[in-house]
Parts: sequence; structure tokens; C-alpha cells
Amino acid sequence: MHLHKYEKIWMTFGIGSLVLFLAVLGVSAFAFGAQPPSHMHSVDSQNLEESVFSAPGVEQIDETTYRARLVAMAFGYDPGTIEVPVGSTVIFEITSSDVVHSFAIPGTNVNLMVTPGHVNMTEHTFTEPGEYLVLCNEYCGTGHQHMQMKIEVTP
Amino acid sequence: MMNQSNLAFKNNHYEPEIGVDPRDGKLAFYYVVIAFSAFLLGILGGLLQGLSRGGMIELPSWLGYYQILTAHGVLLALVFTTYIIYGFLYAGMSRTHGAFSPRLRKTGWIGFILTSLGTGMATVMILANEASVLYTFYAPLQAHYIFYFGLVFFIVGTWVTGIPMLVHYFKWKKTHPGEPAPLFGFMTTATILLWIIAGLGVAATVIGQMIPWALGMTDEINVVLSRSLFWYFGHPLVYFWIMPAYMVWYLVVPKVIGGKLFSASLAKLAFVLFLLFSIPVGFHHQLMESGISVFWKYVQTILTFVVVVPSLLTAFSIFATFEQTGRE
Amino acid sequence: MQHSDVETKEATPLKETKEHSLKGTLYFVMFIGSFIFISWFVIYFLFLSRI
Ligand SMILES: [Cu+2]
Ligand SMILES: [Cu+2]
Repeated sequence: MHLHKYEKIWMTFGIGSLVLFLAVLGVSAFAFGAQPPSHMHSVDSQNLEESVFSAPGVEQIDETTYRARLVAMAFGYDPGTIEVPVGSTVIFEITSSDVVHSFAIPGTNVNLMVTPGHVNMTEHTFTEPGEYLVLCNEYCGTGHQHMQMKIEVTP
Repeated sequence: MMNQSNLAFKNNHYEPEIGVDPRDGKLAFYYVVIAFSAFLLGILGGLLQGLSRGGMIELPSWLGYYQILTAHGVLLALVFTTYIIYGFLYAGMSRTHGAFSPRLRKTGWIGFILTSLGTGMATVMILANEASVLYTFYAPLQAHYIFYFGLVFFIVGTWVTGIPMLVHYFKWKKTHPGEPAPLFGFMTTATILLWIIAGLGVAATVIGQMIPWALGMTDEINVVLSRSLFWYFGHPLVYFWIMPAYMVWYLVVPKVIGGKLFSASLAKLAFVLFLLFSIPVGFHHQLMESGISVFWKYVQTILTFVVVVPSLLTAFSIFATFEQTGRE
Repeated sequence: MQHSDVETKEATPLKETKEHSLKGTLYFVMFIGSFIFISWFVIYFLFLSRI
């Protein structure tokens, strides 16, 4: 197969960029831990009362770390509002009691899928006080557009 | 400059007549007619959504926003694309490889009828608001079982029409030993193979999971598995759209501008790469999901990125075709 | 069938006898390539800025 000289330049540039992109992603994922939410725990979505999700809400783990266990459902989250002081790192653990939902905080990297039967997890450090909106960005039924919750980050 | 290219145009014996056997043209014509009917209905749905989202109109109580969204998605992303592609491939195969045999043509029609039956079933259920599940129909959102049966007929029907096109190509090769086969047939074969392989995923989830569950035979459904099977289909689906577009770029555009294809072997390589890379990449639609390990997500990311290679080849080829013709 | 000769001609790998310059092609693909390259890093840095 004959490759034109310019095509060789082009393919080298293209494949070189590809290798560079993948290397950057690989290094940030496996050396610096910037990984997509991929929690492996499962839960019985029909019996959440008998699981760690029996009393959803925020609990403090140490001085600046909180764990927020949340249940997504059509068409909201339980609880509908949580509050943490500014500067705290929140570990979100989320599951669904019915269909597939998502959990996204616009303007941050927090964005994950919530599938029934699974627990998904991510964490975020809130460095600015204020009210953060959480949205569901996966279609979940006729009231999908109303599905939201609030995170109050107090000064 | 203008004059020159016009001359080249004429010297290339540009023939406006289409040259598809009328009996084959009829099937292709029906594919195109349904494609554009679906297109018309689909964009109407899009218009209604836009107007109602923008607050310009209020939808009547019997018409749901997500119902229209589902119709919009199914009609444009599945029905329009599949029908226009099949019309294009079928007419093109007849044009480049000669008329289909009556038996193959009959099989083509059977597939067309099956596909259209499925389309009808799914459309009716959507219009009845029994299947407002969007075109991704993620479980455990549930649609009426007729919607799922419609999907099965749709997919199986496209396989049935796909097979005569594959047979037509291989028959041509057999009766023309030693001759290089028309590129159109090679590319059609790659596209149909990709479609059949991809369809296995959606057929598996619909037949194995959704139908028993929608009929009440099982009350549990493995959600993450159904999503993986759906995207095993849903990602190659976009290559199934892109490959006929690339066929137009590689085969039709050079003819229209009165030039010639930059390199046939590179074009073939691009299609083989598409076929190979299409199979394992659907997981990238589940990158933000629990239950799939980071390692596999990274592997999927690599596989997804690699697909850029045939597109790089194509980009160069298209521009080179233009430039060579321009400099003739 | 009367067209089949036209079709097969396409299929034979073209040996370019009169090599035309492909400078414009190189410029165009590199233009698109650099657009993709820059966009990728812009998005990556947006991700980093939100960590
Ligand atoms: Cu939702
Ligand atoms: Cu994809």
C-alpha cells in the first residue's frame, strides 16, 4: 500500500496525538487517581430499608470529611437538601430505588449514573460557600425535568 | 479554472440516468419513501418539543413531551437512518453489481415487510403513549411488550434484507474471478456485517431480557447488563450511519466533481478498520456507571480513540481527491 | 450492467502517474487536526480546573 509523503506526516500527527491523549488519561487515572465513578458494591433495590440506605443523609467521618448517602427515585432525591461547611470533602454514595437516574452538580466534575441494584460513589471538595443545585440528567419518566436536590455549603 | 473543471466533468462521461434495474429500484424507492415519511414526522416532533420547551405553545393534555421525544428519537435515529441507508445500499448494489436475482429480490422484500411491520408496531405504541421510554429504552423503564416485539421485527427484518445484498456481492465475485470487485460492494458488505453483528446485542437484550419481563414472566431485570447489550448495539449504530456517508464521500463525490478516488486500497482499509473497531467499544457509554471496573473503562477508552484512525485516512483521502481534481 | 466497466475502473488502485502536489490537502487536514488537538486540551484543563 502506497502512502503519500504528506499522508505519512498526517497519520503520524494523528496517531501521535492519540497516543499522547491516552497517555495523559492513563497517567491521570492510574498515577493521580482521577478516575470515573466506578464503585463495585451492589445493594438490593427492593429492600433499601434493610441496607446502609435505611436512613439516607450526611454523616461526619472526620474533621473535614463527610459521607452523604443518598437515594435517587422518581422524581427526587432523599434527602432533598443536605448541608456541609465550606472546605469539606463530601463522599457521595448513591443508589436508586426504582429506575436509572443520574446525579450531576453543574460546574463541577460530579456527574455519575445511578443504576438500581448498584451503589455509585464519587467525592468532591466544596471550596466555595453557596447553594449547589443537583440535577438528574438521565431520563427517568414523566417528571424527569423536576428531579433535583440542593447542597447548602455554609460559610 | 472553472472551464477546465467543466471539461473534465464532460470528458468523464457523466451519465445522469440512474441505471438501477427498475425492479430493484422499486424496493429502494419504498425504503426511501418510508425514510422521508419518518423524517417528516420526526422533525415535526422536534419542532413541537422546541416550541413547548421555549414556552411558545402548550402541548395538549393527550400529548406528552417525552412521548414526542421518543417518537422524535425513534423515527429519526432508527427509522429514517436505517431506511435511507438500506435504500441507498440496495439501489447501489443493483447499480454496481447488476440486477438482483428474483429470489434475492424476494428475500429483500420479505425483510422490508418485516422491518416495516416492526416500525409500525413500535410507532403505534409510542403514539398510544405506551412506550414513552426514549429511543434508548433503558430498563427498568418499561414499555408495552408490543413495542419490544416491534423492535425485534425491525432488527430481524434488516438482517433478512441484508443477506441478499451480501449474497449478491459474493455471487458477483464468483462469476467474475480475478476481477477487482466494485468498491461499492466491498463497502456495503462491511456495513451490513457491522449492522448484523451490532444488532445481536439489542436482539439479545430485547428477546432475552425485555420481552419476558414486559410479559410478566420474570420480575427482575439485570439493568447494567441490559445497558451494556444496548450500547454494544448503540455505538456501532453510529458507524452504521457514518459508513454510507463515507461511501458517498469515497465513491459518489469523486464522480460528481469529475475526479477519481485518491486510493482504493486506503478506502478499503478504512472500512475494514471500522468493522473491527466497532465491535468492542459500546462500554464508553457507561463510563460514569457503577459495576464496571476502571481498568475496563480505560481499555474501552483506548478502543474508542483508535477509531479515529480510519477517519484520519478518510479526511486525507477526501481532501486529496478534491485537490487532485482541482489541479487536473 | 452497461455501467460495470466504469465501476471496475474505480476499484483498481490508482497508480498516480502524474503526481500532483497535495499541499492544500496537508494544510486542510492539519487545520482540522490542530483544532481537535487544541479542543482536547482545553477540555482536559477544564476538567483539571474543576477537581
Ligand atoms: Cu431523571
Ligand atoms: Cu458511542
